[in-house]
Amino acid sequence: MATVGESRITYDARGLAEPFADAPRTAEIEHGKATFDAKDLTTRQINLELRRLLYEEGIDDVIVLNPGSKHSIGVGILTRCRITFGGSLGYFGCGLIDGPEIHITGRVGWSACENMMSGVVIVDGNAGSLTGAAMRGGDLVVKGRVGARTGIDQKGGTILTVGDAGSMTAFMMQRGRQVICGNVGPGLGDSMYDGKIYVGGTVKSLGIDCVPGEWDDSDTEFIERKFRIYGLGDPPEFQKFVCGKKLYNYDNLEPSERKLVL
Amino acid sequence: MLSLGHSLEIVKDLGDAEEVAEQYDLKDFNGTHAIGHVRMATESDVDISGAHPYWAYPFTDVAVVHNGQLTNYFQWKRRLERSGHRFQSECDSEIIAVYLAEKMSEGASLEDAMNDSLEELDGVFTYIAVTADALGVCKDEMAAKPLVLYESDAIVALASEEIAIRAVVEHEVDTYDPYEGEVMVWQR
Repeated sequence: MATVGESRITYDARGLAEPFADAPRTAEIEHGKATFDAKDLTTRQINLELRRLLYEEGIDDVIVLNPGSKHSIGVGILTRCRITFGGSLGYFGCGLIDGPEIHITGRVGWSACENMMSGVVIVDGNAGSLTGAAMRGGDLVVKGRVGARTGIDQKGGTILTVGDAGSMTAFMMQRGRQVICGNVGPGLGDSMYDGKIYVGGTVKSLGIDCVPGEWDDSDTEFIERKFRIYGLGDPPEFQKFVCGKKLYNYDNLEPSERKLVL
Repeated sequence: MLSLGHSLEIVKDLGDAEEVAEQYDLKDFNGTHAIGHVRMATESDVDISGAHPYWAYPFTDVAVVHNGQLTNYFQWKRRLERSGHRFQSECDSEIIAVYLAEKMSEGASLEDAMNDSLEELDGVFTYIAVTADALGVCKDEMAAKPLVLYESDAIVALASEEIAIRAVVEHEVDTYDPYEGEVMVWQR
């Protein structure tokens, strides 16, 4: 921990805002279910308490009350469990998770579920931009609307948005599926490599190399299954969009091989 | 930046929000609308001249806070200087205040001027502008910078992140992020 000049501002060279935080041990555990109030806790205290309950106490059902839109909550949870956030999360909520089923009763800020590997996240409210960025697996369901660049660099899994989506949705998508029941902004699927996008409303404009796709039985089965699982009623009629593969200019040779040949 | 009913008043200093608020007794200010900004300096120095809000000198009662970068800053600076305007800083955000003020002095409404800025200002931006009786927000066509909006019967609150709104509203709030190219203006 170092001090900058004569100011009272201190910083940790590793970049940790609270390097010496401890789990507050304030959760109440009853019948294998834990509940704690995050109102007066810092980001690290909330995450440390969550990890203590999940990894040390072996609890697999945790309710976090009053998260207060704080950033970076519920990140890096790598075990199968159930977590309920009673309120909204800020930026980077539930990123890097592998396994949990998470229910957020409020909204999420930018970059929620970034790099999610598996599990389920259900957001009752809206989501900011970059939702599900670089997501690799699992289901992310947003019952409100999502911001710009949802599923940027998506590599797997499903992002299901009940409301509208902003500009550059599925930008550089590489695999996986996006289902948007509402309207979508400009640049849908820009520079996508692969994957499928389903849109129930209007599309302001398609991005470079994103083209309408041919609907088949597997699309119907997928949409109906997801709507049934998440209790979303009857699905609307969707248009399907895929990669036109006109930007595929890959060399068959690795750079090192190329040097040898040329 | 606060409107005291008839005109705007500006407070700028170095320090965090709490320190500056305490130093200037901001809790004793009364008004209908206010904007504030904590700057992370990227291009120009950490000093008061680089601090937002920017006032549109020599116009009265037009001020702006801005998150982003304007890539045609020098073009607009030269254009506005040729029209006789002088700038107080080297910061691109100051352009927006003078740009809007000049448009309004030619008869445009705040909303019209902000809509024009979507076409004429290049780069990425979310900015909030205030006049003595209005508050407006403008988000560029890429939606590159964050903005969270909360509207109730009692207040309109805008911030880069919901946690800032929760600092003044105790209960859970229903907020959303406006989309690309949106201009919204609230009139007193």
